[in-house]
Amino acid sequence: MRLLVLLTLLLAAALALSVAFGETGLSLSQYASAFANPGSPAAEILFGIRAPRACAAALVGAALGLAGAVMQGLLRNPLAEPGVLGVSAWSGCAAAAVIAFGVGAAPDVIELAALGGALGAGAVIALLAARFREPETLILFGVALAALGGALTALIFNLSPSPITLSEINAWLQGSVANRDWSDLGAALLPMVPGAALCAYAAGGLKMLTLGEETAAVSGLPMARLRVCAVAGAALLTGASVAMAGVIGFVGLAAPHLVRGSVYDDPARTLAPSALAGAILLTLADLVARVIPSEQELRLGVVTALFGAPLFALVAWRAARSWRA
Amino acid sequence: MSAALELKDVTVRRAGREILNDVSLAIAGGEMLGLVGPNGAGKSTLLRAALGLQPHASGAVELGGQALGALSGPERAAMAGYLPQERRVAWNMPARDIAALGAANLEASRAREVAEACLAELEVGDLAGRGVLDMSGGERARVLLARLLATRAPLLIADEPATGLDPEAQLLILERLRQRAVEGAAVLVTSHDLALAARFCDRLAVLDHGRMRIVAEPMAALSPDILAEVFGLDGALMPSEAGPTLVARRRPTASR
Repeated sequence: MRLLVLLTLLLAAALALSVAFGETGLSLSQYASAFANPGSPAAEILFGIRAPRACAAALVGAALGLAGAVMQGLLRNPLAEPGVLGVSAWSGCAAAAVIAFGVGAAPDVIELAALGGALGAGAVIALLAARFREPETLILFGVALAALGGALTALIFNLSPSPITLSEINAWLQGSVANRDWSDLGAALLPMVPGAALCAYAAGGLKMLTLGEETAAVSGLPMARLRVCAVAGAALLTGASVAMAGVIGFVGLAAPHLVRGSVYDDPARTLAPSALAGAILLTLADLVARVIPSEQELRLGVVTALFGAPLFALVAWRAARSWRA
Repeated sequence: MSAALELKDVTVRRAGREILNDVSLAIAGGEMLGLVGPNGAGKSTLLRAALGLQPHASGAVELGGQALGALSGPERAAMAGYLPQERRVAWNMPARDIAALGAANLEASRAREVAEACLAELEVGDLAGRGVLDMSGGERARVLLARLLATRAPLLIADEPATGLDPEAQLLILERLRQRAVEGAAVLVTSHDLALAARFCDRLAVLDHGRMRIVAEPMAALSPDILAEVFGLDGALMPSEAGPTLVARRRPTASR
């Protein structure tokens, strides 16, 4: 409980920082006028542009952190992350396809395509999860599915007639929460809330899976149902994240590792702190993307990979030392 | 009174090959039964078939007199606890939390109490807060057995619970399982250590190439003929103060 309070405070601090700082510098009097006068330009910058963007980053980070923790628990594998079952790849592929076909400009089409792609891949994996107990089987199918999704995306790049379209797809795939408004957040919550609920329902099964598939199977828990719920929940969360912000790596992989030691490695108790840790990571990553001076704003997916990879290596180093001891 | 577990003419096929062939076995409460046989005889498959983890092609499996297929998951779990041979644990959870998974149907604080009592029974009570991946193989095996004991199921099934452990740990683990049988549980264990199985079990079931060769008291089940024909050993079980001891040597290949 103390961990959840601490992480919530850190998230609040990260959100406050993210709203307070950005490309446009504001004076103290402008901050004061933003609070005093809701219609002022400063208020528009803080609450109309930065706040929804910061919340979008937090929401996507939370969804990816939670999905990563669920995947690691389900597959009993510390290297698992939301993309391991091919969900991100198909989500990205579907979004790239609608951009390439020229219908991406219509409202919400890219977002719906991304969500649809994720749910399609998630449905295939969920069917397999109901049929097969072994995590290795799911991983192998997931790798195949991800490779196919990646290959189709590469094919879209390959056949795309226009460099502008290519650049649009590329920019979208690299991830960003720029220009997100409050209605985008509301739309993302629609799949994220049931996704999170499914993950919470599967939590007890993830804990039992610590002892292996067979022990879990005779524990009295409805493991086939829980596995399907875990996959469906992770697919909803990942799909909604890709729809909102493009493909963003490392958060889903790293967030559970950052908190696991604090919850005594319990896969069920890792879920909520992973969501909060993911939210903090991505909020800060988006802040970094905005404040680092560069001609073109850094893409969120690039920042998370640049900062996430060394951070993750550090976590892996510490974990490896504790395993060896 | 119905048997805690009964297999009637069970046949299991995998990839077109018969792993178990018309196997029958019954075990009642208060009894510890050892399932022995060479590698590949079908011991683990029999245990898995008894729990519904391995589908059987023909025959019937009953738990507490009821057909296995008619029982819900929670009903099965309440009637049978299982300790698989695989001792891999995915996460470094504390021993207390691992053992408490056996009592997951209880309220959390009560499950922890049961877990701690079982850990103390296996003489690892002082390690309750330590992560299982930070433990030695022997300590981890005791924690996993504590998880089985915490199920408090009337039928306890353990696949090779003592394999790979030092002699003291082997004796402790089998003593505790024996104790559960004395207290009324039906205990079914597999073992490659024939002398240990003979010392602790009331009866031994000898599996050979998927067929049940004999189910009898240890001295009869491991007669010199069975030792020779099933295990390829020239020798016999010799009574001793501590229990039966196996005195045997490998049979020359030509005489098998």
